[in-house]
Amino acid sequence: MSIDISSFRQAFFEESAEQLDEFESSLLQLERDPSDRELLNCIFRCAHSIKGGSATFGFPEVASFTHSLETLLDEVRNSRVVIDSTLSRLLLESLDHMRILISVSKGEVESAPDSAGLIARLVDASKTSPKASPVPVIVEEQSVPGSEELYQLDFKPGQDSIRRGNDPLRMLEDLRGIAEVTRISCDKSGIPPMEEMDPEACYIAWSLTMITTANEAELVEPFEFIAGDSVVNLTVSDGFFRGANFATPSVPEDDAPVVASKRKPAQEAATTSAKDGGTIKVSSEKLDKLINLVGELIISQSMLNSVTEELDTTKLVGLTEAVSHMERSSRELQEQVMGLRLLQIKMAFGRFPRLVHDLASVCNKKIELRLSGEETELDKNLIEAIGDPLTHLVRNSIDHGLEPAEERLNAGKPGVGVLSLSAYHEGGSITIEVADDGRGLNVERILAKAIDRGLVSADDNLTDEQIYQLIFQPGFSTAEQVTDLSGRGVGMDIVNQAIAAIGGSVKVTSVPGKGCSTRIRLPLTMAILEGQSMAVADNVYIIPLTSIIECIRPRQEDVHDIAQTGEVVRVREEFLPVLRMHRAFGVEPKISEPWDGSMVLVECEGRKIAILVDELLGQSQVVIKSLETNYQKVEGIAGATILGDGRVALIIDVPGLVRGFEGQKKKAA
Amino acid sequence: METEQKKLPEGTDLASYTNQFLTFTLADEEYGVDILKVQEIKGYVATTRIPNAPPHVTGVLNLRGTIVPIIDLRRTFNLPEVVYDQFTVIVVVVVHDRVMGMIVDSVSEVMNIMAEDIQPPPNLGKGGSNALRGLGKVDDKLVILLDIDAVLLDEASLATAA
Amino acid sequence: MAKRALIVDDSASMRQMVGFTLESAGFEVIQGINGEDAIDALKAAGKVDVIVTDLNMPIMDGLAFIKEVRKMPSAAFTPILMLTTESGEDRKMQAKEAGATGWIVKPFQPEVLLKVIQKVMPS
Repeated sequence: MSIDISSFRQAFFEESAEQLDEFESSLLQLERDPSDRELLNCIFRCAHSIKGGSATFGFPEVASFTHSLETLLDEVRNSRVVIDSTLSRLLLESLDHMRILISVSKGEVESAPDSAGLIARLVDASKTSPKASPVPVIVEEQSVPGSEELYQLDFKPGQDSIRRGNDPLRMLEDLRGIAEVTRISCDKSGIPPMEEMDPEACYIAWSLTMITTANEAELVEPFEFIAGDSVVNLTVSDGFFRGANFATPSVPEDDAPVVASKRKPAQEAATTSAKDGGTIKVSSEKLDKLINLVGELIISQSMLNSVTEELDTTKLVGLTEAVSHMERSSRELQEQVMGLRLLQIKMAFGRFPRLVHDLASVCNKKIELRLSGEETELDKNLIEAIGDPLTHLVRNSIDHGLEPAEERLNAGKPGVGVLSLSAYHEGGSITIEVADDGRGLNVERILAKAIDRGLVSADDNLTDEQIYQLIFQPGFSTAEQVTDLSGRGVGMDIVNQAIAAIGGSVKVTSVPGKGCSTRIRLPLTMAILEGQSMAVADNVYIIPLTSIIECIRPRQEDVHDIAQTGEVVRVREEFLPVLRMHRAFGVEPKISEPWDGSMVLVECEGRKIAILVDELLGQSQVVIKSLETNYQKVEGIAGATILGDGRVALIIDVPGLVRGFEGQKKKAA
Repeated sequence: METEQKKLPEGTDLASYTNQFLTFTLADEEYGVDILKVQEIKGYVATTRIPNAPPHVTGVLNLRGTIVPIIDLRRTFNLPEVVYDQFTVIVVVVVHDRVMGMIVDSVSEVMNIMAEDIQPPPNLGKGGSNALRGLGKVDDKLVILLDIDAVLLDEASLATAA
Repeated sequence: MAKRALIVDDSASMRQMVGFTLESAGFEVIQGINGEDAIDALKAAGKVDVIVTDLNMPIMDGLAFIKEVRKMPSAAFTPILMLTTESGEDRKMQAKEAGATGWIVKPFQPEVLLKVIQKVMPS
């Protein structure tokens, strides 16, 4: 029966990816603290593990390259070679090379650059001759069919053989399987008197004669594991001593200190292995299905609630209780299941230490990266989605925001610039902040560019904050020249769009000379939404709570219709434009005047709008259903949900709705 | 979002299914669509309007948890409007990997129409559409066989174009 | 009663592969992700018929693990096979001193692994 090793390759690839990430982060930490033994051991183990796995699962190029790396790392961890910045760079290069080699093995990439050069440098750095033992390769055992021969075997197992779990009788049985034993005798002379005897030691020897066609290698094979400290004398019985003598006196060696010290639990790079023991990898697809089903359950629950509310339940006391109990369980189930999709944002932050390290050296700037709130949890889809936007923001900071050391010192700042990435919960959402203590945004330049591009006119009186938000307009860029990293003019608006697509918002604040901070606000999850329901005639609409500032019942005296501008409502000291929902959706409202209905005040891209509806219904958690699956994307609609009575309610996409509204006003003007 | 697979009985000769149609009436004419495209049949329920939708899309419905757009075939074919009543039916089809519903006056039956009883669609000149698969004749009755993919192509392609 | 095997390796893919190999030969497989974890697993399981362990592991490496295992009465004579990329004689000696029964070098063919395991299991 043959076993197909290739089915385990996927597991190996996933594992190697984790190992390489751990290698990288340990190495970067090591640069700050070159004497940390645990980090050195960790790096060695990563390389060692990948070497073993790649050899076993059939990737010899990876194995042989990693072997050289491992040799070097062994020297390092035994303090025979010291890590300095040159060596560190070499190791990072090797790491990147390993990633490429593994990509090739996966079939993702056609071919890799030749390993020979790097290997030579690794060997050089080891300053020792290439390790005597080459990469282990399987040697096929040759069996030469021969004619029958008569052999004599003298066999005395070493005293400790049994202690090591060996079973001499089993070995003799195995021998019987390949040879016809004609005579066997047991030598008990070695057994000491009872008082001196160690019951776990082996004192007996055997001597036997056998006829066999097997060759010598096969005949001594059963004794392979005790050969080192036993006597296994095989002779051909023509008396000529031909067999190899395997007897070597066992030399007790001083115990090399091999017990590893307990790993510090504070180790951040820690324990993908430790965690591994208690986790199961589940495919995202299965999880999504599960979440969908739970969503359905919640909807059924609502439907059940609606129905039981209308029943005369005085006779059905048990029913109300049961339904209420079920509701509690469903809600809890929902929470747990939603939690399954949550991952720590650490995953999204993972690429940045290396990225910042590399970018800083390319730009010749000194930059310190500070991460905080890495344990903040976020829906897996969101983590994937913010990766690129975050990268762009980081690149912006490094490229434009943070100044070279000299400039900083001249400005009275410390030479090392600080770039911080932080994440925290705030209300019902997550905020991710990318901040630097660099130059800050240049208000004049932004304004000039915006005017130049016709986005605003020279006499628009804009606050600094509004000017900063202009950078999110498409085609905007104030970089003097297009540098390699960013400044191509596609940056911030793509970031904005990407964030908006996942239901979030971006806001930038800056202090000239002191720095710049970009805050991304994201909903906790993409599948479920906290929303305010409202009605226009028979239609129910839902607006996400994150967009809502407040809800009001407007008074007649506060609503004005201003020529050339449109309807506005006065809220405390501000005048907000009024968006009539029924107009936006082409439905007939039940109310005739704004003061008969309710208004929902929303904030969107720095502007505030009042949305007029017939009446407000409750607030609830709704399961977001896609409109696009079977229909298409509709501007102003983020999705749909199913109400307790089975009807469909539309979920409003506030920015889209507002855009449509303003577009209409422009046309009318 | 899953689309229900039609389960064919064991030992089904697939060839015998290629000429099975679900027939329904629209404005006193009998129409038929390929049975394999039909997922289910539902009584008419009021839909939720979608803003800026083309006129023949009356809105969307909740179909066991999935949001499904509903098309009024009368509007698609420029037939006069009627009031929907208890016989009005929504035929749910799967077309271009999307689930959609079409409102018809009433559903008749599932029929086998042999290939030899199907005539190619007449050439109606410029005004004609390619929405017809052919004209079927069953017991002196004319069944207009629709190519439902072509009829609903607009709806399906709207999404990809967006 | 089915034969039981304990596999100790910090690499999940290795454990999966060796585990599968042994299971297809009728073994009931128990896993440990490092020496310490394996000792716990062994204590929980009571007794196993064979142990296959890696050498380099965090927290408690293969050699320390074997020494610990040999102290346990239920496992004093259980065959222990080392499964590792290392092949140096001095390392083999260390393993022997610690109480290892035998040695298999990676990479290996699963069939070879099974053969060697059959070889060291008591008859």
